[in-house]
Amino acid sequence: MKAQQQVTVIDLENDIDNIKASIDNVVDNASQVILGKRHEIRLALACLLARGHLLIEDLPGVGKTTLAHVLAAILGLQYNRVQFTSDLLPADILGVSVFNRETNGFTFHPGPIFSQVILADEVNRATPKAQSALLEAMEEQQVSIEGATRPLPQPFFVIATQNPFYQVGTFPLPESQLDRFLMKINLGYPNHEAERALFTGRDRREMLSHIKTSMTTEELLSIQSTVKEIHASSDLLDYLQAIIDFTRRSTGYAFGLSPRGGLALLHSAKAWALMDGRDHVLPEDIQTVLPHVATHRLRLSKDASDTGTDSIAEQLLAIPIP
Amino acid sequence: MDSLTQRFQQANPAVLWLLSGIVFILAPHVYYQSHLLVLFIGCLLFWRLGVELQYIRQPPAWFATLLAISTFIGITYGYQTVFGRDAGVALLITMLCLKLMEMGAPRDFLVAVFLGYFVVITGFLFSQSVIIGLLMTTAVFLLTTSLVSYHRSERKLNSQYKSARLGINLLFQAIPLAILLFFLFPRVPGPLWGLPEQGSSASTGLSSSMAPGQITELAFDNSVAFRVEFENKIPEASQLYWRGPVFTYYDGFMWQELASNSRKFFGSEWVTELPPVPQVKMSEGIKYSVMLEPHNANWLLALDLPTLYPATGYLTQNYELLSDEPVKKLTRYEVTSHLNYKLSPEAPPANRVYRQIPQFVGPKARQLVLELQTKIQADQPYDRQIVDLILNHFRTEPFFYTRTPPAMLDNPIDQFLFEERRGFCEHYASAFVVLMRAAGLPARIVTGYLGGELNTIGNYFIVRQSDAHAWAEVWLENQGWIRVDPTAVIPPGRIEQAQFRDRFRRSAGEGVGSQLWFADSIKRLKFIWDNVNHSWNDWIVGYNPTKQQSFLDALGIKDFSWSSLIFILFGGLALLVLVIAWHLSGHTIRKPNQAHVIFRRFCRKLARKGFRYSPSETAHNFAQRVAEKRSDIAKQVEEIAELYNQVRYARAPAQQSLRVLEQRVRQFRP
Repeated sequence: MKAQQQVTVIDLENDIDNIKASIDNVVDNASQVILGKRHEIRLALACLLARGHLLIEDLPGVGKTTLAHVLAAILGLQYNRVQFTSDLLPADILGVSVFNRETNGFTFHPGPIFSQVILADEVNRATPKAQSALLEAMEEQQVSIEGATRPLPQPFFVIATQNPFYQVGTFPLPESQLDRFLMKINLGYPNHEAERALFTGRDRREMLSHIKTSMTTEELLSIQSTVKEIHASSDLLDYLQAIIDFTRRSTGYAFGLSPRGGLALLHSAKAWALMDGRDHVLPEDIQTVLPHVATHRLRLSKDASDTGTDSIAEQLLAIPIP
Repeated sequence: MDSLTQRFQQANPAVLWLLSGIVFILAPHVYYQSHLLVLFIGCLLFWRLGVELQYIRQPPAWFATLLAISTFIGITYGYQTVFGRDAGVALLITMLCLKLMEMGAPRDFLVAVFLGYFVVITGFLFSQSVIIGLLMTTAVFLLTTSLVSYHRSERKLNSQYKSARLGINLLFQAIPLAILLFFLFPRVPGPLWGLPEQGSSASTGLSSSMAPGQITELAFDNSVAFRVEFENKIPEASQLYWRGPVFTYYDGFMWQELASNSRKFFGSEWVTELPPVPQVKMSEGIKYSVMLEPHNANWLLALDLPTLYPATGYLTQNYELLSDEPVKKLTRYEVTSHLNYKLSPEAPPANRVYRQIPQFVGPKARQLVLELQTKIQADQPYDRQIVDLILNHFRTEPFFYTRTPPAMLDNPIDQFLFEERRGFCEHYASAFVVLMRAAGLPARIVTGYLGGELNTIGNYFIVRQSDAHAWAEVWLENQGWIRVDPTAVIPPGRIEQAQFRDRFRRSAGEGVGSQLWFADSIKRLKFIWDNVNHSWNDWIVGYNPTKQQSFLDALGIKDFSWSSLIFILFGGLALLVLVIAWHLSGHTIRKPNQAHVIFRRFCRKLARKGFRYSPSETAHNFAQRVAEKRSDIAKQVEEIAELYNQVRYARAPAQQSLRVLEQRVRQFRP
């Protein structure tokens, strides 16, 4: 692991070209299953490469779960799916100790959380208690059950999907927990051609089971550490801070971006720059990831929502680049 | 249901600050505006507070509009106009309070605050006293704090002191600027604001005629008439007769001045516009300056007998000192008076008005004069003796001095002299002059003020309206016009109100000897407060073109004009701004990025061709936009964008990249 990191430093240029090629390959493969959502797939990958968790919010039936499946399958990660419902209990996620008559002791049966990718389906249908079990694991990368701290496998990646808040039977995630998701993306309806292709093409479920693994876990971990090496110049950090300052100073928001939010923005921009085959971050990288990193961390204040016509994303993208 | 404290904690502190600021703005208007209006405004403020504390809802928009329209109509109807000071201010303050009724969007709040800043001025339209100054300064502080609090995200009530601290800092930072503007801004002569005075604002203090009861009314008025600072020595209290209007014509009830415009009533023979009669100075002049409160009439008060006076004033034949314009604002003037004098000793006054009495007046009084004339001794001068005889009559007969005289309406002179025998100074002066005229001596009434209170803190005299007084002047052979104060002969035992008992006897500076220490401290506090007022008047309100001139002279700016003053003013402002800018430049303003400067040059070149660069656009996006429209320069544009990104964001930009960028931009010809 350590030797690998040194290699990335020495031969970054060459590495970056290779990385770009393999990522493009992954995106191409995924795009064959999820049609017309190339940008969203790239964003999801960027989130994964920046070691963040992903929240997909959209209406039921637009392919949220499929996207999560595809990502896990292509990257060859071991994955579990948890369907969140209102009667889900923390033990259903984390696991439970059962008395073993033979050994005369308790044996821990790990829950679905002990896998590399968790698909937390419809996360906002569960009660806050169950949500918190998942969200704690996301932050700590480990689970403490019955006095024992159990590390989670690496890489550990949560893809949560949720329905829009205004749908019946949802428990909205509080801001503090939303903050733990690096990105939130919306899939939206497919365009006309993509939908036609969906109707005429093969069954998606069937395609999922035949999907080829395009990347090894070692490769993924190596790319994740390369993301950290991407350069952000001081001019770029000025831009980043201008955005953060704006969210804190403007009366339009109930609260500004947290330092964690700022770091999230930087890391995602770095991942995006790497996926574009660059060793440095440009303002366009920030602008690309900005709507997906910042909007779920901000809320328009009461005063602003009366007059506010611009969405949060529009306001943030209008901040001048210093 | 939440408790009041909880409600306060949930309220928006910025609105609470604003409301308290508005209370301060409106405080002086409680005194100056009609009670109905004050009640209405009070209701509006309480309503707003109720809304903020969530007791009641904000009125719907249509109701607020209706309220605004009906208020406008009400004020127009009530004042018969919307122009002018009173109606205009009434309209402004009610509209300010009505604005509070619609506060949803941030803009509404800001409008209310800035309207508040504007309405602060209206307090000064009515008075420019220290109190108003303090109230309005507090209001400005509260409004500023409200703005600060509004823009701080923290809404907790107990962290509001931070907003208040910033508010007070801002206020103090504004002070140097305010001082600069105050001293250097060109002054225009005339009333502040150039506002025409209200027709309704009646004159205060002495009036231009004297009927029984008028000065008595003043005896209850404790407000300051004027303040006097003596340059060297302070004259004795018995000499502090401040000369005001002089009355010569008596119609049986009322004494009047004979001004030139009364010619048509009395015929030209009565009225004279002669220069002041000759005077002989018998002592050294006493120099002093008077700070006269506005009273809306022309006379300037001066000690008997004014000899040197300001250029804006003139002396009438009767030695009244008048100003050219009615005194509508606080006026300061310097006068020199001679306390020992002879006025026109050579020739008796020719004008018949000094001997005039209507036929029906005082038959008994004339009888009394005839009786007294029998006691005249032939070897002594007649006029001196008759004066003494009449004064003696007042002294020996049971005449009382009272602030509450009975009404004497039918034949005031005879009723006073023979039935009631109780009166105030005006009754004595009036009766005395009538008796003098009946005895054939020229006589007239002088009104003004007597005495004054020495403020031991500031070493100046305070003369109040309650010091108003009336006395008589009689012309005697060889002596000219001499002052006779018939009230002064009443023995103290026959003075009904204690405070007047030593009015004519105590010497200046000695208060009523109070043994109680707290009475002394209260008196001391009163003196200190009056001294503050006096200095404020002297320096702030009384800072007129003349004072400005002398101040600038002291600064070494000898001959200034408006233009040079403006030049100094804005020069000073520019200097101040520069100092602030220099101070700020250290930590907040960054050096502009060199690559960015070059890139902006490139953008300006493209802007001329119709491609406007938005500051939030990235270089690549901009280049792409241009390239789509102009394939001929696409390559250059993309190269420049690439170079620019290299210089600003690359890991280790090549040293020459910046120069190459500069070169490309220079050669770029879109």
